[in-house]
This record gives sequence, structure tokens and C-alpha cells, in this order.
Amino acid sequence: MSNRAEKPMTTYSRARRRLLKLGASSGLLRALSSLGLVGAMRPARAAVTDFKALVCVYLYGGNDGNNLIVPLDSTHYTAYTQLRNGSGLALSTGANTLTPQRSATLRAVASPVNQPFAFHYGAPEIDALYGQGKVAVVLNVGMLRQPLNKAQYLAGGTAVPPQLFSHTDQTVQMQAGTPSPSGTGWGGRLVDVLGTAGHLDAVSVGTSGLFIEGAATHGNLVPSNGQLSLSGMNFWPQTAADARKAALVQILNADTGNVLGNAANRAIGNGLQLMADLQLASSATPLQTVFPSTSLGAQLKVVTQLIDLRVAQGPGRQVYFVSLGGFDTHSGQGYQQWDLLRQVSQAINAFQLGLAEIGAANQVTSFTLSDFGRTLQPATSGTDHGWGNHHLVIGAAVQGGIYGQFPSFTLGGPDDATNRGTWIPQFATQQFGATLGKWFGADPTMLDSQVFNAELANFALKDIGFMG
Amino acid sequence: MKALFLRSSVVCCALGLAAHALAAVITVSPYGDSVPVGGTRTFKAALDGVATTAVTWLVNGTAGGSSFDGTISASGVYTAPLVLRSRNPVTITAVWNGDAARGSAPITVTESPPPPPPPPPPNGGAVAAARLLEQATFGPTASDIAAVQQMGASAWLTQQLALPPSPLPAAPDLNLLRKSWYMNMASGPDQVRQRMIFALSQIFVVSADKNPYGNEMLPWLQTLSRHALGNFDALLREMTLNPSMAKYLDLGNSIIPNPNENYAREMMQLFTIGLSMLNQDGTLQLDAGGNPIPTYDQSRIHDMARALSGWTYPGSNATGTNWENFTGPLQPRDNYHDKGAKTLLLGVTLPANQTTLQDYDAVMQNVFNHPNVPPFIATRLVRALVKSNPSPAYVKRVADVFANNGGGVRGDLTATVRAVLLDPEARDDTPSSTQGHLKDPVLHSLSLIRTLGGTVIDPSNLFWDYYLLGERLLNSPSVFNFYSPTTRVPGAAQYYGPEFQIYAPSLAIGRANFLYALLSGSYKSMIDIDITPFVAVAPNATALIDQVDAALLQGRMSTAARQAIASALQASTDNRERAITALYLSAISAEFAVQK
Repeated sequence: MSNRAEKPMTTYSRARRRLLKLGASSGLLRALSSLGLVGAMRPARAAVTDFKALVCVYLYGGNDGNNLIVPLDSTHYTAYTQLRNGSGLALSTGANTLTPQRSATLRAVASPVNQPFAFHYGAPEIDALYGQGKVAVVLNVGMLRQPLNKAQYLAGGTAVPPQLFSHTDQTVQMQAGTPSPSGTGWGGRLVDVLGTAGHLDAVSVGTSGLFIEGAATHGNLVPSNGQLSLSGMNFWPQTAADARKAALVQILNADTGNVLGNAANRAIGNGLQLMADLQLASSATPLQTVFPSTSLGAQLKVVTQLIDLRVAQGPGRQVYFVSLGGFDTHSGQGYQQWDLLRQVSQAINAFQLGLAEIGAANQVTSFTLSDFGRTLQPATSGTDHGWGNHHLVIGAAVQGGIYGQFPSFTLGGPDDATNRGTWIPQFATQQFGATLGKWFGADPTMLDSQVFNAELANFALKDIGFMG
Repeated sequence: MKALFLRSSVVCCALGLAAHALAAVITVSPYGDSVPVGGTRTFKAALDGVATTAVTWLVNGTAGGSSFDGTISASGVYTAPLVLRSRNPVTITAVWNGDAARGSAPITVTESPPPPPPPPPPNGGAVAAARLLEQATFGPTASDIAAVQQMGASAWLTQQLALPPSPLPAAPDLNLLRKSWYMNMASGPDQVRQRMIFALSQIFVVSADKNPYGNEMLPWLQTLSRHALGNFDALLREMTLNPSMAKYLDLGNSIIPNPNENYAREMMQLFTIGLSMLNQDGTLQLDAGGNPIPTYDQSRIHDMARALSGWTYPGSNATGTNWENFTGPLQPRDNYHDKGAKTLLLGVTLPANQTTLQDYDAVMQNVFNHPNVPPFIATRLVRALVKSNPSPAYVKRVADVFANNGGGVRGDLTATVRAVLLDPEARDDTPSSTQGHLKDPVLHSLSLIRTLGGTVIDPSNLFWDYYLLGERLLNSPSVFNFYSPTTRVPGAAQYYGPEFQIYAPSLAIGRANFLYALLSGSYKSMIDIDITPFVAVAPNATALIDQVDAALLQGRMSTAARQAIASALQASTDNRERAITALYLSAISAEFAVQK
């Protein structure tokens, strides 16, 4: 797709070229520059010396991880087919409903045994990226407050996260990174401690997500077409429109003598900057990478364009939130999950190619989150709301492999909370997030006290290891 | 290009002849401009009408100029001297091709920048009245400002608090309910109550995301309306058994053996006491190690949920449980109630074998009398109505009134809202660096509409816009409201700024676009704002700015905004666009977006 060398300087000059190109044609950027706003709005970049971005790919509704990746050792696979064959949900390599068998030595486990497995047939691109060492599969991750065994779960009380099987609550808890949410997400809080208060620090595309909201970091919602414009700034004669625009910038730049007033003006000023960036993204040299014409494909294309721009602006941290809905496939799961995973797999593949094209592959890591996993035992139709789930971490900086182990597929067994194949997580969302957060540049104290609600301290393993 | 080469060769051949004999004409523009001392102007030269940069520049005959007359760069940027000189105007000359041709233009150096229109003195009485109305209503109208000025703040408030609630439709669909509520906010006479309903709706959150039909939301709004100026105890008790809330936070049919903890948890965390022990002034109590002291732990949530178990919806089954039904409050079913002993907040214990109603009553008493409730609710209301960063002393004064209205009554919301609005810190009209709060989308747009005397005709189709701005009435995205009261100001994280959670850069642009649609008339069929009075005075920039300042800001417009708007007006002769420039820039910038 792309033969651009992955050199940061290439990206730099490429983006700078675009900036110059737009500078000649954009009255707005001229107005901003002439009034010193471009410079003034550039955030201080003290905390970090390089650029990194985290991209949360949220699968709304609770993806059935049990069919995203299937263990092919005979013990697991026999139990799997026995439980899922009757409802037509069992996948197999023979029927080409799984990608060809792979095997891996399990990581982050007490006994690193060899584990044969395969991916859902809707995800051949993910499988190929796995083959390139760019995918970590983290098995049985979910919402916990502290490590929990089955007896502790059944005893209930303080240790068990509340509202475990509720979409609305688990959507909030997974993005908040704690079973005691208070209106912010762990991506936003990471930017609170590492970010630079820039206008591109936290961006959701299409649908807003709690994940990118921090205490002082407020998420931009960018439409999935990547377009944003300010009304009333184009009318005849253009000199009058330009003068209105310049006057706005002048007002925004003046000190109001009030903390909230200055912040309110800064928000619009940053918005103008974001507009200019988005305009630059769509008008500059088009990406050669072809993104699938799906919602997620369009969202990740906008993300790629914004990363390209942001990288050129120097060191910093960004969190992104993109999403795809429809994973609550109570009925019709067979077709629907194939269709959804196909969209995820193709979009993520294009995203990796796009990142390589702009030279940012090593600096960007994406990962999946979802409300919860689903029961291994099918319901009357489809599967029911579960708990622990398998998640993907994708990127050139990822230490590819399989982390953790598959739960025991025995109904009512030690890993099953409800006798339906509802997995008690072996890794907490906090551990999953902290592993990414460490790569992002947060130190252990920050991660525990400022990002993960002092709950990371409850877990011995602070770094699952998939970021090397 | 070709013509130029030709001319050059002619010039070469005609060497020695006077340049003007060849009719090469250099013109310099702008001609007859003026520039303030120290200011700059860019000059351009043209050779027979074709722009050229192949010239050298003189000021009063001196190449490059001088500090006395001003200097000029190789590209024609003239910088005027820092003080006024006797040789004025100054002559700028462009010399082409070794003086084959030259042209000049005069420029007058002026004393200082053109003075901005002098601001009229702010109308002190109107500012004081408008500030009260910004805090107490959905935006000051001219008649309300006159009324407050005439009656005084306290008497006006007394009159407001006595007004009956604006009606809500009896059996609405969701869109009708949303529209009616919005209309009440926009034009209901009971503005203070409406503002309180709006504030309380963001504390006791219920959302149509889970309760998607009008009849599932109406009881919630009715309870808020009924008790917004009543007693907090009655509000809490009715809300706990309210069927809308019962569905949203699962208290309906929360029964043994596994009562649902959702309502117990959120009621304590978000509606009444919060997560940490507070002093009466709203500051955190700290333990010996300097750490906040949790108000409760998971065991208390569990026991609270047990104590509140056994409630079902009204319905045909008088002894068992009924399916969701929104026609009345929840009903107790003792055979579904957890009859064990419970420990509530502050060590209060409930004996075993109490009835559903007895335990409910004990929980309500236990929570309502918790010492956190006065500072918790005082802080929430002050943030919603007056300012994001109140002083602890202000919070304490309000909390004291919440705790005791002077007649020994706790939880009197009428007395509390009076304390919020009449406090010296709220009534201090001297601008300060932390005064006020950012308006949220509903307040920002409604205050613009009310202040400009706009008419809300039918808002039904506006709610998608409000959704995109992060605040679609009746559809809070979660129990945490559209924005969290603990949100910090971006770039100034030591300050609270709740409304900033939905004012990220892209949302700020979206907000501006929404207000532009209102001002420019593209939403005229839904909301009619008549800007013709502003268009009428628009030929006179000063008169226009004064009128916008008076209407939106009662004379508080900053000098920076006046100057900027005045300079923008110079570029346009279209009176409608001139009026929109002044209104639009004032409405979207902090001048009007922040309620100070």
C-alpha cells in the first residue's frame, strides 16, 4: 500500500509542506498567525519529549470474545464445540469459519505452555497482523476492584464490582477504568497527567466516549466526516467576512481578567485551530492508504489524518475514541458478528497501513474495549451478557503474542461466575490500562493514584508485558 | 511576462533617454492612507498597472527612510516614526530600474490609533439587576431588569418564589414533554422555580436513554417541579419512590434475596452526601494522615440497598410484585423486603424485622440528617446558579440556611435559594478573576433568546442540535449528568468549571454555529429573534456597539471587544451583516458565554 519510509523527518516535512500549502490559501490561518494565536495556542510541552497516541476502539454491546479467538487444544475445543454446536455458534478451521491454526507460548502466566488457537474468520487481517508480531491478545480481561476467585465472587459484598451485567454500567466502568466511576475516563486521566492542554489532546470521532474525558481534559467530538466549520465567516464581500473573523480572534486573544472567561475564549480559539487542522487534513496530500468505506474505516481515517497533523506539531500525547455498535447480538450472532468483526479487522488493518504511511506506526497503539464478554453457553438465541473478555492490542510498538490463559471451559468451573461460562477476569481493566499507560509514559505512582483510583495497588502485576 | 521583456529591451536600447519618454508609469498604493505613530502599512508598486517588486523604496526622498520620517523595508512595509513629525504627510516613493521610472504616494502619520467608540458608563442599576437575573432566571429581559430595579432583589425574589409552577402536559409523548419543559424555561413566569428544576434535574438525574417514553419521564419532572422550592426531605422521599427513578436506578422490584444496589449507591454519591466527609463550608474533612475520609463503604451501600428493598410498582397484584408502571409511587411489599438488621451511615443500626416502610423511613432520616447534605447541596446549587468557584465562607452561609432556615426547619429549599442568590458574594457586582460560570448550551441559548426578546415558536427540531452540543434535555448520557460538577477548567485545573466538560474546542465551535443560526434567522420558524432594531442603528458603528452592549451586557462590554468589533465594522457596509457581526461576536465570546 505504501512505500514511504518510516522516518519521523519524512512526516515532519510532509506535514510542514501541507501547512505551507494551506497557509497560502487559508485566510483563517493567516488571521490566526498574524494575531499570534497560532503561537499562543500552542500548548507548553514540558512533560514529554516525544509523541504517542492511544486509540480506543470501543465495541458497543459486548463483543463475544469466545468467538473472536478460539483455543484449539482438545480440552478447550471439545468443551467449546459441545456447548456451541447446537446453536450453530461453534467455529472451526475445517469449515473455514476460523483462520488457519496458529500456536503461541502463553505469556504472563505461571506455566508458559504452548497454546494452539485461531481467530474468527471475519478477522483475517488481524490474523495477518498477528503473524507480523503486531497484535497482542490479552485473554480474559474485565472489570475488577481486586483479584477475585470464585468463592470470593460468590461471597459477594465489597469486592465485586456493581452492576456487572448491565450495558450502561459496564460501558461506563470499562471506560472509567474503575467500578466506582465519577465522570472521567482512564484515557482522559492519562492525558491529565501527561498531556499538554492542546486542542488535539483528546478526540472522539463520530460518537463521544467517557474514555477520553479527564478532570481537566475535555474530549473533542469530531464528526466522522472530519469536517468542522464556523458559521457566519463566509459572506460577500470576503474582506468583510475576513474582518469579522479577525475581530473574533482579537476578542479571543484579549485577557478577560477572568479565569473562566479566558478558558471559554481559549476553547473557541482552540476550535478555530482544530478547524484549520481538519481543513488541512482533508485538503492536503491525500493518504494513499485506502480505508474501507465503513463507519469505523471513516473514523480511523480521520484519526490517521489528525495524528499526521499532530505529529508535525511536536511532542505530546493524544487519546482517541472510535467505536462500532451492534455487538449485543442476542439473535443472529453468526452472521452479525462476522459482519462486525470484518469491519473491525479491515479498518484496523487500514489504520496500521495508514500509520506506516505517515511514519507514526511506532508511536500509536490501538486496543479494543467492550462492555463485557459473553457467556460461553449460548442462550435461546445468541449469547448472554458475560464478564471477562478477550481484547486486542495492535501496533508496531506492541510485543505480539497471547497473554494470560483461556479460562477453563467447564460450566460451573473455577473461572465461571454463573454456571453459564461467565468468566471471572484474570486481568483487571486497570492492569490492561496500566500496561498501556506505562508505555504512554506514566510512572507507577501516577498510574495508581491519578489514573486508576488507587485500585492498581490491589494487583501484584502492574504490567502485563504486551508493550515490551 | 512577454511584454515586460520587450519593454526591458526597449529600455536597454533607449539608454540615455528620459525614462518617462517611454511612458513607463510607476504607481504606488495605497494613496493618501494614514497610519498611527509606530504603526505599519504595506505599499505596493505597479508598472503600467502590473504589480512589480523590482523597485527600491524611499521615504521623503531617502532610500529606506530614516528614524525621523519612518523607515521602509525592501518589500515596501513602511513603519511610521514613534512620534509625530513636522513633515507630514510623508511621501513614499518607489524607484524602478535605476530611476527609469518612479511614483509616489502620500501617507499621513496620525497621533494614535483611531480611538475606539467611547464606552458609555455601565448602567450600575441595570448591571446589578441583570446579574441577579442571570443567576436566578434563564436570562434577563428588559422588563425583568426594570422590575428588579424597581422592587429590589429581595422583594422581586419573594414575588417569584410565590408563583405557581408552570404546567406540564398530562399524558405526553416524550417529544411533547421535552418541548413543554423547554417552553417553561424559555417563557414560564416562574423563572426561579424553573431554574431550580433545571439545577435539580442535573443532580437527581433520570434519562430517557433508559426510560424512552414520555410517561416514564413525566413523574420525575413532576416531582422536581413540585418540590423545587419545597423541602429537600420531601423531595428525597418522593424521588426515592418515584416510578421514573425506580426504573432508571432499579429500585423498582429490588427485592430479596439480591436487592439492587444501584439506587442506594447513586443516591448517596450523587444526590445527597458524596464520597467524602465535608466540613460545613464544603471543604474536605481530612484524617490524621491528611487523607479524605470516605462517607461510606461498599458494606453501607449493601445495607442501604437491603433497607430499601421490597418496593414494587403500583398494579393489579396487591401482595406480589408488579411490572413497570408509572401511574404512581412505588408500593411496599413486606414479603419481598430484607428483614435482617442493617447498619446505615454514621453507625446508625436498624433492628431486624422492621417493615419495608419503617426501614425506608429510617434510611430517609439517616441520609437527610447526615452532616454532608447541607454543604453538598449548597455547593451544587451555588455552582448551578452563581459561580463555579465559591469561597468556603459563601458555601457555609448557604449550608447554614439549608441546615436551619431560621425557624428550626432543615432542608427548606426556598430559604436556601434565597441564601444562594442574596448572599453578598453573589451580589458583589465588582468583577473578579473567578467570578461566575460558563453557561451550558441550554442556558447560553435561552439567555440570548430572552435577552433579545426572541419568541420560542416550536423548539421540537432543535433538540438534535442540543444533542450535538452535549445537552439534550431528558437525555443525560448517564446518571453522571451532561457534565460533572467536579470538572476542572482546562488549562487552569486548580479551578472548577463543570460546564467546560461539554465545551471542548469542537463543541465550542458547534455552540457558536447554533447561536449563529438563531441570530441569522435560519431557525426563524422555530425561534424568532428580531434583530431589526440593531440593523436600524447599524450605519453608526458606535450606536450599534452601544446598543448590543446595552442589550446583552448592560454596558459591561470590554474595551477589547468594542475595539475589535469597531474595526470589523469598517470593512462592511451591509447593515444586516454589521448588526450580526456585533451580536454574534458578543454572544459567542466570553463576554456573554460566561455568566459573571
